[in-house]
Amino acid sequence: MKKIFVLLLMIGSLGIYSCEDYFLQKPDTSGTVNLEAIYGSSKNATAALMNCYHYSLLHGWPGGWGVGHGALASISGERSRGYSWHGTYQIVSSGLSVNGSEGSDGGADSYASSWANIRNCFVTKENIDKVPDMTDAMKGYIKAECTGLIAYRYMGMFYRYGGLPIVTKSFDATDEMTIQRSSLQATLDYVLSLCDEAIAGLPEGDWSEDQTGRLTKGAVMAMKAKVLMFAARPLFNASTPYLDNGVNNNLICFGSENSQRWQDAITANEAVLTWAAANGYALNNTGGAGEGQPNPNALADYGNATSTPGNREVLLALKWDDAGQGGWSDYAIFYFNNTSNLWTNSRYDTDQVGLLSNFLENYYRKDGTDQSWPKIGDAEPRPISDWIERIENMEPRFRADNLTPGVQTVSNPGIKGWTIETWNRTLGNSGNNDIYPSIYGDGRGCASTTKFYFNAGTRTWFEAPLFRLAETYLNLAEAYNEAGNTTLALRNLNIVHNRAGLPAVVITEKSALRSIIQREKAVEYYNENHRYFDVKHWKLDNIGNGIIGGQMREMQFRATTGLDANLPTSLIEYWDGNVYVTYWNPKMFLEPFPQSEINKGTVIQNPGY
Amino acid sequence: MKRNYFQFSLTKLLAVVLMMLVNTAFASAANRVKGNVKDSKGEAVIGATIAVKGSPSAIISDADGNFEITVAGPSSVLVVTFLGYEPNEEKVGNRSYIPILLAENSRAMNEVVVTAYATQKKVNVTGSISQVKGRDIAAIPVSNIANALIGNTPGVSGLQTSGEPGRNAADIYIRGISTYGSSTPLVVIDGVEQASEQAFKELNSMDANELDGISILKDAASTAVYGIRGANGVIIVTTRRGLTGKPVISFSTNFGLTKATNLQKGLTSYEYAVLRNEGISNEMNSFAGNDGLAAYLFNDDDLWKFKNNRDFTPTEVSAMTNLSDAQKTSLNNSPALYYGSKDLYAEQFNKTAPQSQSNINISGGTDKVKYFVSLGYFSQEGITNATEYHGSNTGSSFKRYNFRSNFDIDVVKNLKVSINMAGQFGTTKGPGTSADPYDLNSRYKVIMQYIYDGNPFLCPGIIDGNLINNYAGVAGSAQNPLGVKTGSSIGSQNAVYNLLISGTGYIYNSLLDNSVKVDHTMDYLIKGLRSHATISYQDNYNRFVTVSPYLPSYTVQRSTANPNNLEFFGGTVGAGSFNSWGYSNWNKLYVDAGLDWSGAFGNHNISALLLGKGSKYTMPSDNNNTPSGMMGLVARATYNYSNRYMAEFNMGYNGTEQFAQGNRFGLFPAYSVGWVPTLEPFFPENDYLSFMKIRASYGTVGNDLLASGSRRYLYLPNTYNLNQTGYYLGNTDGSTKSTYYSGATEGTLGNKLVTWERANKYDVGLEMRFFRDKLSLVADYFSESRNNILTTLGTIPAIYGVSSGSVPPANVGETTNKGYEISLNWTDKIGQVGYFVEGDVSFARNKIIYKAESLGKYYWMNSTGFSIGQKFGLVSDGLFNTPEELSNRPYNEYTSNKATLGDVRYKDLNGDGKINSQDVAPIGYANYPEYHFNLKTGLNYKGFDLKLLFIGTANGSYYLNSGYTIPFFKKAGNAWNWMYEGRWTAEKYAAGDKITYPRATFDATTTDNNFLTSDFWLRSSNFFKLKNVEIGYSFPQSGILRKANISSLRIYANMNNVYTFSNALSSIGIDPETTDGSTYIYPLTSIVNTGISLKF
Repeated sequence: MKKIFVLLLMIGSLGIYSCEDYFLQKPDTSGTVNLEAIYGSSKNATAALMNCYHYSLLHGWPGGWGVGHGALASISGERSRGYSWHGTYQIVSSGLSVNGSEGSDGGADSYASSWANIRNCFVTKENIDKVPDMTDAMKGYIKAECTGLIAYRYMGMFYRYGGLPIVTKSFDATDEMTIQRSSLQATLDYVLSLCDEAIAGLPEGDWSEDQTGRLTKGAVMAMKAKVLMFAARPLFNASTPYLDNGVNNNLICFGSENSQRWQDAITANEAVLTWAAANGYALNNTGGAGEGQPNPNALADYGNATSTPGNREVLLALKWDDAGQGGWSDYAIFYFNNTSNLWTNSRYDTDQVGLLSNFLENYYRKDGTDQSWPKIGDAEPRPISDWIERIENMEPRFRADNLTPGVQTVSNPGIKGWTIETWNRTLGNSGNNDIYPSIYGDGRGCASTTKFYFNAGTRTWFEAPLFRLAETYLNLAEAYNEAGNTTLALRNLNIVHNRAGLPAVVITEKSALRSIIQREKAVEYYNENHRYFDVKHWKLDNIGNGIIGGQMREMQFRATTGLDANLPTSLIEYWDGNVYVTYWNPKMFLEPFPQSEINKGTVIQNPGY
Repeated sequence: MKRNYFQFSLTKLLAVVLMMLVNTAFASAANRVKGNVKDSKGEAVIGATIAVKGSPSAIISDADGNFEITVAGPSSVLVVTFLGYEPNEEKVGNRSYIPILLAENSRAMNEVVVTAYATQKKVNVTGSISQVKGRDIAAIPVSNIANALIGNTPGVSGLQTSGEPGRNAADIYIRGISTYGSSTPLVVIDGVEQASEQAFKELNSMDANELDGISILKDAASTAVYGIRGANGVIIVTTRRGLTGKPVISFSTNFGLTKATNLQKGLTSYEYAVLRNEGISNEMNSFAGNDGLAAYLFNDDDLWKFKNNRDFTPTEVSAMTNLSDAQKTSLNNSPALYYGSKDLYAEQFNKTAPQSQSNINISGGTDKVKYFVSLGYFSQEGITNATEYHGSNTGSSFKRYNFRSNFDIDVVKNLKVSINMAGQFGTTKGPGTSADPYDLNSRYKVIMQYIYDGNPFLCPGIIDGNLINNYAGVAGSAQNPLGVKTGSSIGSQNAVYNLLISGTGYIYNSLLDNSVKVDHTMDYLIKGLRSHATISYQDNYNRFVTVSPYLPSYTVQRSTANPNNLEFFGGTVGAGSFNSWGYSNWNKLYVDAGLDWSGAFGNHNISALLLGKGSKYTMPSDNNNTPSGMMGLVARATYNYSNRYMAEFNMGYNGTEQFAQGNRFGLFPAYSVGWVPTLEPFFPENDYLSFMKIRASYGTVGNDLLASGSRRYLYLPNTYNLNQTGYYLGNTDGSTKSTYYSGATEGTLGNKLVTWERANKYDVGLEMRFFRDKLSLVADYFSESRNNILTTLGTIPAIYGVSSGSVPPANVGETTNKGYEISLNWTDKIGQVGYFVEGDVSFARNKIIYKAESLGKYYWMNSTGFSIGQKFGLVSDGLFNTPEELSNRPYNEYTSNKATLGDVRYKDLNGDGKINSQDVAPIGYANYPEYHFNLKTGLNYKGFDLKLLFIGTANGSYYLNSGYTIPFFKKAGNAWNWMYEGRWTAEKYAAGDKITYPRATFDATTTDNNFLTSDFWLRSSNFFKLKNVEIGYSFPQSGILRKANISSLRIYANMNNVYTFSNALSSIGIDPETTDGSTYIYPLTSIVNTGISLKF
């Protein structure tokens, strides 16, 4: 008996020891799966691809650029800088930092998240062949889509950073990963080869109705055309770089100015138009006024082109349609673009992102002439009737994209939440005791953005256009002008200019025309994530003097005490004022690599940082 | 008062129930005598044997040293013996009550220490172990055992994140921090290891009256058997058990008052206005483009009104032609509505709040069954002023009921079964809980944000029972005269209003802990062999709900017709909300079974232990939390020769879920030796050196957790998560959404090769006693080097595409931690006054040898080579006092070189003419200090006793977050007295005044020159405080007490956090024992407490 007891005890104590499976093995109850499970079914593999789409295409939009608060427009001199805790405010105040601002890992981008998305795309591309329940044709398309999405991220990094490390696969932990930056030319060649590979592998024409939104040949052709535009523009297409980088000049500059680059860009952009025409995509112009004539339907045509999901001017959009009130970083894209009363998620965090006077001056009057706005140093403020009259005479694109104090919206007339009465916060800088020429408030500027929400009604989400055909025409106008073909330059420019309801431009002098094309791009693409990169690659002389850097100005309105300062009856007078000075340094032509990457010793920093 | 009555009657009721439960007859005999055994420190000796000389009857003293025994007559002699004490013989005489004083055995040969899986004679211990008695813990009137440990033993210290009831536990460490991984010690309660996920959960919910003692295991020799979990030290908690004897009922109750130890001092509205005007002028005069700021300046009339607490100057009043003279006089005397002055911090946190604790326990036993049963109640209210308004309340409170019953049953001669049952039931209530009630950061932000965003005059709070959220008048009008000048970017902040609407959260928590232990002696097989097994199950359940009543709020203004009258608008009442945040629960199973043996062969004493154990922690309420397991094998062999030479071998062999099969088990051996020269035959008996022991240990312990602690199953290959962010496809014109396809993402990447992080620990100790044990010394030197630290490599380039938190972990990190502990104690008696003085110093300094970080250009840019937790920032060099200093400054890349006189000057460390990230260097020390000092002293005289505990630290730093340092945040935010007093002005500089703060700024941000992270905002956290005081009186055994059957009665008062000597954080209102890193801190509290304890 006693011996049995002892035996039992000994077995017991060692028995515990044999329970390794019970105590130490990972139980099969968690939500995680492995690679085999992902590429073991078409459903899961598609899920991996969908995640690639979401994050690859979010690049640069609020929620997708690393900086917590704010949109690129707030650091490109379009919109005001935001609150003091916004990353945009920090960048505007003290420039791009190698340590990033408010969550970015460096400058105004998330370098690491580009590589994370590239990795995800490569993993899908490399493993899609394992999926048992998928046709070979679909596998081929998905590989091409992954390649195209990799190209999209590479494109974004190309014009942000210059030459890049060339990554051609998903790394294993044991791989050698100390890959140095390649030259600008090698990087360009690699991005173009990715584009060509994707174009070759994508289906002919459109996807079926239920799959719309995936990459098409045309979308990747537009991507390639955009890459070639940045290659041809003066920042890269030069014999010497913007700042001397010694032996590493080839990372940020081609080393010679070559007009062939403009020809390559022309070819690529014309190819986009050819594909578009063959597949039913076109610049949205329903007025029927004929070539060279102002479009009578300009407001609706421009508004729909920028705002209506699925419109045929857009070759590729970021289809992130969920404007729920969830975790905000993914929703920030709506947050910083829908400042209306319909968007209720912390909307007051977007109070300080109004239209700057600096940018307002790019807009035309609806007759195509320049508007005369108040200037710093004017003898006295102007009465509000002057403001209302001038706003009502602004071109349709201004009216579609902006809501100003005292003037009703034309983009969502009568819709509660979009009218000046229901906006429920002050649309411009205004105060009761404000005395000319002092500026009391800043940040609201003279307008709130309504871009992407033309005829949106109560819809709070939008599909951000990534490639819209107006860009192709403006690219051609720019490239033809640089290549010396004024006629085709003007023709392409006027296609966009006339569509906006403006009379044709006739100026033929090259540099004057260049400025007009650049102004057209600014207006057509307000708040659409183009200007921050365009003005740098155009290497504008005044970039540090009122464009990205320098004195920023905002309108100031004086209103009657106690009344809603959005209403025309409350407003008394207005003037322009200096609000803040923005930091600019030529080093900011390109973004800094994160300091942490530099410390790892694998990449060479861009000059000046 | 009602509550206290309830409480008392409740405990009384419980006592009755208990007495009925344990229905043991009180023995009655003609020749019974009672007595009590105490040691020279006046403390009860438990378990002493009281025998009647020449008779077989013998008894053991109970938990309070009391005994009762039958004697033959007055000539009988009691012989009292106890291990570690000199035997004492007392003649009974005519006494019926016999107090017995036991002198401690000069060599304390038999004093015992609770160690891992055993109780060892203290003289034989070769590891570094310190002990705290249960009653020393109970003497500290705080709710958490962890907090009470601080200062009570060398080598244990901690910092506290909050002073809020129910959430005020300190994070404690043993011998500091020696890894940048997890540094949390292991807690073992009655032999059961606590889960690492809930390391302190049960300990901190225990009633101190349940405690017998706590052992702190510090070196490898004492912790090796815990292998996997022992690397950060072990806290072994033993609860009280019954002793043979009649039942003893102990009852204690105490009541105290808590208040904040220190609060940040605010400004009057006048001072605020002056400082703000100065800040605005500085911005306008120093930097172009700021003319518009003039709109925010207060004029002379405003300043007069602030200063005099009036809304109108006499001139303004006399100009009011519509008022009668009486109305004018009244208005001239009417306190301000718009220009008032409030100290928001004090208003919110200056409450003196009650705390009370009661315990009743009963213990006793027969030869067969011994028992200890305890019931406790603890209640604490928070220091936030509990403003009541329409069902909302801003107070915090914590209530806890404790239950424990420990039974030891001798089933048969050689089989003992111990059954422990414990329950802890808590209710934690607090404001600011509209979000996750466990997210203290968010809660304290809610609670404190408005103190920082508000200012002394912004909004008046509650007037005439109406909650005000704004002034009714249009900003700038006579009905809201400061609305424009305030210019708040946030709105009319009102701390009371915001706290009231922030919702009240309740967490209901219950924790049950049951264990059964079987102990079987097997002398029938081999003499000295014993087998034992333990099974324990802990179950914890939390439920949390929030209540947010709808609060009617008003706007207010002075009437335009007669400004003497106030007009209120608003007051709508709507529906409130009740939210259940659901529940969470966890449970843990622990089993062990082992054999041990001890035997003696002449002077050779040998013992051995072999034990297997396993535990499983499960959190069923969390879908993402898969159960975690741990298992191990423990072995120990000890040897000693005549108590002179000792050697010990300890071993833990542990498995973990973190590593792949093959790398899963780690062997952690430790070796230790000891020598007691004073026991050598050649050592002369003398009065000077009565005892000496030298001991040394070396061993290896392990850790299996990454720094973040959150990653599991480190060995698994690439994981994928389904149902992640996806994308929309389909053709829609916007009238409907497209179809959503959910996404899948790569999760963390594993490494099949990862295995144990190892710590090699050395410890050398010296224990000495002098002058017949009056003076004792314990000194330890330790050195630890950790290698194979589980690390996620920071050196992998971004092109890998895997976030730094998800890259495969590797065993690459290396750290060292070295230090010492010295403890000196003098215990003596002068006449009838017994006293003791003890001083402890502990020092620990760690260093990162390798961390796999990407290295900066200069050594100061790296963590490697510096302490864990080392702070980094720019190095300041005073302020710009003169235009020359200003114009010769290096270019500051953080600020586009924007700076003016009175701004902070930074050092250009690398001399490149630029202030940038290459000039960010180590500043100060880590938050956790390197030195800790304890000074304990106490005395007893007759029934009186007094104990004082002082503690202090050195070589620690506290970084002041921008929330503390930036005034006028968002234009109208608060400013503080220390800024006002210490600010730079040209005049003060010229006069040579002490300047501790830069020039006044306005609407500054963290990217402005003065508020960059730098040592300018780093404060020493060194302090010295009177941590605890206890004074008590035990009534002598008089007739009344005896008639009432009361065997002991003591009244006492104790205080915690009594007095903190002035330190670098005093003026900022921060208790130096606070963890840094947040602006939002619920202030730590002090308490004054009085109580009574009695025994039947």
